[in-house]
Amino acid sequence: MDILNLDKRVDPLQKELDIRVKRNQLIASNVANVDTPDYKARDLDFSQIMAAEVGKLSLKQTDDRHMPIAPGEGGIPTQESVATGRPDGNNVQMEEEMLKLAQNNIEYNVLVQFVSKYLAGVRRSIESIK
Amino acid sequence: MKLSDVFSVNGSAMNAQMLRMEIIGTNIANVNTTRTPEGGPYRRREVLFESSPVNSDGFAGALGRASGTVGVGVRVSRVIEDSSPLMLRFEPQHPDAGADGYVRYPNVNVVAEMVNLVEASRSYDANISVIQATKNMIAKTFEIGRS
Repeated sequence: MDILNLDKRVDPLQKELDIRVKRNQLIASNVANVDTPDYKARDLDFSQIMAAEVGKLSLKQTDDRHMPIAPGEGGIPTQESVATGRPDGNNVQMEEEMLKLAQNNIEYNVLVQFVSKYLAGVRRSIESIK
Repeated sequence: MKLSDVFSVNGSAMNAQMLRMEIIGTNIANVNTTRTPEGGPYRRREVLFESSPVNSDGFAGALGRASGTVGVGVRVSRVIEDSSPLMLRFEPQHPDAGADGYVRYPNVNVVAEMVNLVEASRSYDANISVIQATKNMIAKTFEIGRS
């Protein structure tokens, strides 16, 4: 029995945090490879992430033999950047990566605040019945 | 997929950039070297970068590669010698001058080396920025559950 709805409230936030961690890693790889010939910048594939989330709501099993699709369990989808790059085949844009880094960092902090505030609320409600 | 994987990704890049800077230093130091142990004048050296997955050992590495969740670091695949023509200077009195009176000087262009050095230094700094940002994220993680 999950009176506090912990799973329902915290799980989506946890997934959001996972996505930011993944994005941080992609940015790190892009920055690390800024001088590697033929390296292509990678980022999250937001359209696929969205499609997976939408699909989670609407996919119905019409046959018992159908495998249930659990989006997100197979990892977070990523895609290569199609931007035209330098002559050496590398298309990392340092300015863009730095902006994404800052943005990602802020989003992560916001999410951590959300989780903390929620848990603080739970703690308050527990303490109130003592 | 861990936040701390980023340290090995950017750490490898910083190592690679540092080696690049060392090679640039060697080039500049030897701009006038006409005699080397291998014989002949010094030839300009250059590093070649290639991307390499980090933490690629064992089960975790195999799983990471299969699911595409492993970070991509950098390593120096090779240090090559620049085969472009050497610079000729007419100095017949020089002990290393050829029969024609020309001395073969290294094919190092100091201006190009300096530009390369600045680029390497900038890339190094960028990696430090990412590590700094990741450190902030990790520190923030510890605030979860602290009221």
